[in-house]
Amino acid sequence: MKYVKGIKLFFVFVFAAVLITVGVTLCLVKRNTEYLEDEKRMPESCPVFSWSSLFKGDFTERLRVYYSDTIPYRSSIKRFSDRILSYKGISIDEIYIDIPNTRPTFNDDAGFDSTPIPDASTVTPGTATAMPESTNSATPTKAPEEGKPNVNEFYESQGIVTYQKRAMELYWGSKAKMQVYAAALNKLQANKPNLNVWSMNIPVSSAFYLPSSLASKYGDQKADANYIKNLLNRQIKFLDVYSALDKHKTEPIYLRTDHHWSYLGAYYAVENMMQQTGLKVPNLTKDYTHKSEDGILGSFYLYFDQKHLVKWPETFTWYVPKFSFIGEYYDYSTMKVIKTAKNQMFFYYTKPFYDMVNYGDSYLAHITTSNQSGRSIAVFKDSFGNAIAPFLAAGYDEIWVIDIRYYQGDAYAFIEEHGITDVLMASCMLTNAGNKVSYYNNLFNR
Amino acid sequence: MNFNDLFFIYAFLPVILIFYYLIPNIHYKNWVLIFASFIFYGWANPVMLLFLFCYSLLNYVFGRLIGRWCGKTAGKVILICSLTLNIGFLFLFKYIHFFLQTVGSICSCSFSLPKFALPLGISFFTFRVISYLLDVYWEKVETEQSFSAFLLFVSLFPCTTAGPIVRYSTIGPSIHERKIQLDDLFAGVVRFSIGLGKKVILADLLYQLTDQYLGGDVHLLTVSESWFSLLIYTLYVYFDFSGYSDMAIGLGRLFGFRFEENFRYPFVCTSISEFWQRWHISLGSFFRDYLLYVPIFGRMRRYGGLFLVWLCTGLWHGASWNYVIWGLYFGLFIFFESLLGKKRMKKIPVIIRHIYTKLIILIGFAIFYFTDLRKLGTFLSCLLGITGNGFANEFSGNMMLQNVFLVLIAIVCTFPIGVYIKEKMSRSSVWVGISCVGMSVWALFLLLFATLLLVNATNQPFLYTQF
Repeated sequence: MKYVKGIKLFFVFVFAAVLITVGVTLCLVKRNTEYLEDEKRMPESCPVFSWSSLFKGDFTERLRVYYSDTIPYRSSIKRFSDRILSYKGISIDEIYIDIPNTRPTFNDDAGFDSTPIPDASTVTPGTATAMPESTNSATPTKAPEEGKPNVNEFYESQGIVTYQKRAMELYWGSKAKMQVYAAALNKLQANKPNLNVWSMNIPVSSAFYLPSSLASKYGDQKADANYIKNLLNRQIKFLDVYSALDKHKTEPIYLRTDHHWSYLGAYYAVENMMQQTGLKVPNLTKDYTHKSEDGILGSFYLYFDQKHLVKWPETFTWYVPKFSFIGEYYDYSTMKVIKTAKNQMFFYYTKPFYDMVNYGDSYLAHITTSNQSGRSIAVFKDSFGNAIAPFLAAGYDEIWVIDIRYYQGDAYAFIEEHGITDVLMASCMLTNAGNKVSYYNNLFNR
Repeated sequence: MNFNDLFFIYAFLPVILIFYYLIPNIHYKNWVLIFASFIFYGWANPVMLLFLFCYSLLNYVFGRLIGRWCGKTAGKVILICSLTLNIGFLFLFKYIHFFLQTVGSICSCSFSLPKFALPLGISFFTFRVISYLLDVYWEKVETEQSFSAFLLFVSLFPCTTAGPIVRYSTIGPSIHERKIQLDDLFAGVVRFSIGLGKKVILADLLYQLTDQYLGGDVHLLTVSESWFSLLIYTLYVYFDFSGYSDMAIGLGRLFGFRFEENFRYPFVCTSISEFWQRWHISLGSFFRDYLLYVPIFGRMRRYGGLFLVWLCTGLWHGASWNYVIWGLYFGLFIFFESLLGKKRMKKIPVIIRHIYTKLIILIGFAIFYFTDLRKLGTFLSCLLGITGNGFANEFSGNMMLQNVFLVLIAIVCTFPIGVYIKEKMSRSSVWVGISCVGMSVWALFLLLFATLLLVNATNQPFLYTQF
């Protein structure tokens, strides 16, 4: 059968042609050495030859990785293949569920540690010493490198649900952890009676957008925030972020493909706060220039492997202050200024994303404005707190942005040294009702 | 370096193929292959090349000596020395820590040895060399006189690092004389592409799914989730291993070598004995030919041999007790089936035999997965539904449906559909041509799709799976 031989010969030729053409093209074409947006890292650089690196195997391994990393249109190819893979199954009622079996179980109030927990009904609000001393104080870890994903950025959520093109973390909070959070703030207030202490307990998006079939099965963030409120010393200013955001939930106050709220959501929370501070309330139209970019995919796609989100990228909007300010950025380990910027608060490589404000979690930020209110604020935060600094800058003279996970110093000494008048705890409910609350305990409950 | 890597497929392989086909002389072709094999083997750890070279030289000398004194006491002594050394190497690199840990836990003391790098593929090439030495001693094959030919046999890159366990009797003659026909090229290309598709498209995706269920606290799994995760894990192991074997066989064909089949659609089996005649065939046949008749159990030789084979089968897969249990687990069922006899087995309805085999295989892979025996116990409880998690929860169905097409395609691919279609089409020359075109298009599609997926292979995302 000659024609069968012909077919085989043709196919072998095609295979060889594909191999050689692709191989030669990849050798000759200009390599993509730019920041990999979808992976939030720089690609492997072309290795420099040395005999020692050759004998260790470093040179050859890095060459192999460089070959794949720097393929042109890598991000586009990745998105294309993710789009195909998003059809590997079907979803019921447009709901995609990702429930890992590593999720914490908060079915009782004992939480994770074995510290005896007092009955909440016996705890008198405002009495700092009545709160449990947490035994699992967390020690600070290394801040993420600028432009790289934050390996500490995981929350103890019950899983991820995508509903109506919006990915959300499922929430369940531990009462024991909330008590630890409240105890830390109460101790701070007790130690610094003249300080304005604010508590901003930021709900994650599942508080507003979960389908009713699921909402009843998971924690009530509004109720838990109120639980915290009832534990706090009356002098502490509890910010009702839930209500402030609830009024605007039809607006894009949360990112759909990222686990954070949007800068618009942060604005509404800060607007609510500033109305209580007596300082200038930021005006989104007058004080800020709106910027936006389409086709953005956030952390749920990049780090949480929710491939189906590639079909629904979002428009990302941020608000650049029109007023002047100076930014100083401190390395957490040396507490020395390593970067300064004038009238610039947003830094990114190629595409904007949530962590671009003040370099995200990488540095301790200090913003000095031209306000003359006599008030300065230290924001102790997790990554949710990153988004509020541009809006606080409308009214405060100085804003310090400190990540509770990376700050290694003495928080009380810091407050004293810099003449801080206001301290704001800005973190999401998954922090305030989960194990990360230990960082607050470490900083303040002493 | 692996076969499922863009650098291998589009940089390394084309260069080697070009040089290989440009050179007409078989002797120089072999040197091209040796050179390529050394680059492939030493890619991530060049120091191991020294080990591979010295190991090959030592066993080449052993082979010559055994061949020289075959049938005499000296030959026997040298054989014993060579086997002791080869098994000793394997034991030292792969099993010493496991052994010391076990002895330590029995004697309530601890031994420690510094950890050293495991030579890549040691489990495969030691078995290949052992089979050569025994075949020389039993005069089944001629002693290899040329060191370069022997070096090629040991280091041949398609099968050195991850199998199959290719014997000298299979490829020895081809080392010295081989002709590559068009059929070899076509079959090699198709086979490689199919293997690549199995590995990259199915196995890697199934692995991610497996990890989601089994990677954390298994005590939370419902009954349906447990069985589903076991199914996808079993499919993952099959496609990962058979995919790599297919790529190895395909590459061998491209260079003119015909390796034996290593997997023959094992899930169509109707007995566990049949399963092991279809799964990792090169390993099973090695133990059958070289270990089963080791005369150390006297009258209980038959059962002793069976016990030894399955103990070694388990141990070969890993230095951990769960692998030992896994091997003996299958050995037990093969023992029962041998007691029952083939005739009685055939009388059992086919559907019952299928259910029986699939259940045993799936549970076997649960043992294979969990190196922590306590977690294994927990998981087995989840399978039986005695953990109180129920048959399913509100999410179980949704999560399974999110991957339903992947799993269904994987299940379909375990059946010999391609073989069936090819057989039917071979009856008419027109259909032969059509099947040829179909295979070609399919292979090309797999190559290109796998290439797309491999672009992301060097991405090591910080997956926030620990919510």
